Amino acid sequence: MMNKNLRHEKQTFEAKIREGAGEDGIRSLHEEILNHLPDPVLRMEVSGRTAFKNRKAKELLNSMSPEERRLQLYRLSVIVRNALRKGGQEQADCDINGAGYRIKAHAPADKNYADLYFTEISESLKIKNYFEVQSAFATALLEAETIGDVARSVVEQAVGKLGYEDCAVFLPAEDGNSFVEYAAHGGRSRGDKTVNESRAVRPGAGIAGSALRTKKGEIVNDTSKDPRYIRNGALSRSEIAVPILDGDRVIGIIDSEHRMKNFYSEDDLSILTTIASMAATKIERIRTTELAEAGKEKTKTLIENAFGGIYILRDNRFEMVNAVFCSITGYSEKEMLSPDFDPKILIHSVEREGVKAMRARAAGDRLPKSYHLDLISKHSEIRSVTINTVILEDERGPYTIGIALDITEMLESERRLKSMNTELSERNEELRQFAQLASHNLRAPVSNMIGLLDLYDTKAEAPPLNKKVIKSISKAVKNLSATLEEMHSVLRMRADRSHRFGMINLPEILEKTCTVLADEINSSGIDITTDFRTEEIRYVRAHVENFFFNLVSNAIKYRSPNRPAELLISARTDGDEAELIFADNGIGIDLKRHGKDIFGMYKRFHNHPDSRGIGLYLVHAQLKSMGGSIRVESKSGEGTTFFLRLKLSEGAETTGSSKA
Amino acid sequence: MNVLLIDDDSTFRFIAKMITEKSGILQIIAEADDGESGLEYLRDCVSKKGILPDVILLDLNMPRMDGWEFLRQYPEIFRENQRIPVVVVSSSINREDREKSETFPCVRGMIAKPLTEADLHEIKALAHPA
Repeated sequence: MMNKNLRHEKQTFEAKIREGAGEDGIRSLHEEILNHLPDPVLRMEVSGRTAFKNRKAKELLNSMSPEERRLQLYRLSVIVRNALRKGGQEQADCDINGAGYRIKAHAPADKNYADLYFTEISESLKIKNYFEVQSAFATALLEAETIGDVARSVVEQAVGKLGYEDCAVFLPAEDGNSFVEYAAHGGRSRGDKTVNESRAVRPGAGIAGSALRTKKGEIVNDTSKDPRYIRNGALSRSEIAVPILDGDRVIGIIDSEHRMKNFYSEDDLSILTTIASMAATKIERIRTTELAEAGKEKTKTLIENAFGGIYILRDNRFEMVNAVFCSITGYSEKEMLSPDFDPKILIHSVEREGVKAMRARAAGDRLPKSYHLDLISKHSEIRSVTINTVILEDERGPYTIGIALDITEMLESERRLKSMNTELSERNEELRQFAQLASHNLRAPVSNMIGLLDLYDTKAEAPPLNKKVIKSISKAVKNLSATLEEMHSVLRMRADRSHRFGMINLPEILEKTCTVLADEINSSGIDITTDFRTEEIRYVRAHVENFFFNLVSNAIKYRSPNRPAELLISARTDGDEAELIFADNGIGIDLKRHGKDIFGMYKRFHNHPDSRGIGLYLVHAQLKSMGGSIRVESKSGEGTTFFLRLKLSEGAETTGSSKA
Repeated sequence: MNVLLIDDDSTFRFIAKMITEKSGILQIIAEADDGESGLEYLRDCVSKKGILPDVILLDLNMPRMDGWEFLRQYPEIFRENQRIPVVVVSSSINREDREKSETFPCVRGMIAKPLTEADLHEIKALAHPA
């Protein structure tokens, strides 16, 4: 409307020139017309001197503070210079005293001044702008893929379409407590298109921070009067901050500052609020997509690295196969995903349960199934697999997800293990029979030898060598006989699984042992003392007899030649266990050398003539067969202590606690 | 006291003979190398009215007819009151053998090889308890 008026006035003016008005007349007429214009007009020389001001221009300049006036006149001089440089025309928008003006500069050729025509930016223009920004922003958002893109769109629209000097979007920092300036654009001090991530806003700090806390957009018309204002770079006179809200949650802040007071209007608040809500929607969508993508990526990694073969089957065609499934089948992903590939060619044979499961599937059964089948690979190898399938459904209809575990190797090793086990049992039985046969069949000749040696008349006249030979044979036969006896007892213990528990009186067992070993005890002069805190235990009599026999004879056999032999036998019960301790002061065992062998069969640790290495093995084997254990402590040259832990039978009863 | 010795092991038979002769406690009047020939000897004695042994020493593990089979067939030869006591002499005596032998009333006991002089006294006591 204003432009139309202006054009009309200009036409009148030009007509007057044509009618032949004098130079002065024309000037006064011109000035008069300009004075009637509702908008400011002024002529400014390149030096900044105003050659003419119409009435409105005078009014406007007079309304300013001297400081403001100087600033505005300087800005206008810049526009004049630009117009002269560009060859006549320049346009700029300016905000003066809270009103927005579009300034069109016109510089006549070969002159050093320009005429500046002010037009107040009308309401209609702002509305037009509003829609333009909105639709441009919507278009830009369509292309945004990241949250950063969204922030960039916001600032580009704000600076490009809304004419802001700068604009920043703050998004939550990773620490979750502050917001980081994600994008800034067209900043006066920072230059164009700068992305700066150094600025942080904490809830309540600055005007943006305040918006963060109040969750409401806010305009500050004069920052110098607002104590919350935090100067950042160039001094700003006005500021607008609008939160980006997702429901009740602040997920970002749009902030813009301007060096002039009263720059932002309610319209700015309104359009920024609209932009913020559009940005919020987009940001949430991106976040959701990113999460879904991350989830998809995870799933993909999981599927690719799964130890099982995974496939998706739809309409009897593979839709997806993972690497493991490819390696099981020997076919490539490309081959299997080809429409010509019939999954049925993979099946070599199916067990009955598998056939049942497949039939149920065909009949519409959607329950998860698990079955075995043999696959035939591309290279004609048979692979045994366990298949687990589930039916899912998406918009394209039902599909099957299958997990195939290759159990070929497992079955093979199981089979090998079974056959090895069978073989081992057979060998074991053979060995047992051999041992039995050996011990049995050797017995008769050995007893014969003993009988013959008894018949040999040692008193009769014979060469000394013969006597010596017979003595040696006699010794060897006795050893052989004893070995056979022990072998026999081992075999018997192994065969006899019916261990009968009964009440056993320990002093009685010791007495019996001493009777059997009377000769050895007398000749060795061993001093046997006891500390039986428990005199009666419920256990297998034969075993306890063997423990006493072996460990007492051990103590005698391995007594030290340097001191009188002593053996202390202790017994005590501890819950459902009994402990028997045999401590001697004999020659000891080098446990470092023999520790791991000590309870093995036919292990001997001394070159003692009576040592055949079966006693400790028997003791150990008997204890173990009843769930007990044996431990030894020994020091070479100082003595040996055996700790026997006996697992007493259920409902074990122990009586007596007196010292024997 | 006269003894019939049934054992396939000739060395054992030799030892037994030497010990009995040396000790003079028992007298081996006949030897058989398995159950079958043992039975034959006893049948001969019965039919020809020969001297019957006072005790039979019987081995268990023998070829052709073992000790167990001998024990089953042996009662057919005699009337009940005429049965001669048997003492089993074996190189391996286990519980099963002992339990099994107890089912034969004529078996008076078991002796483990090798045979000693002390065993001879025991055999005598088992065969004819005082």
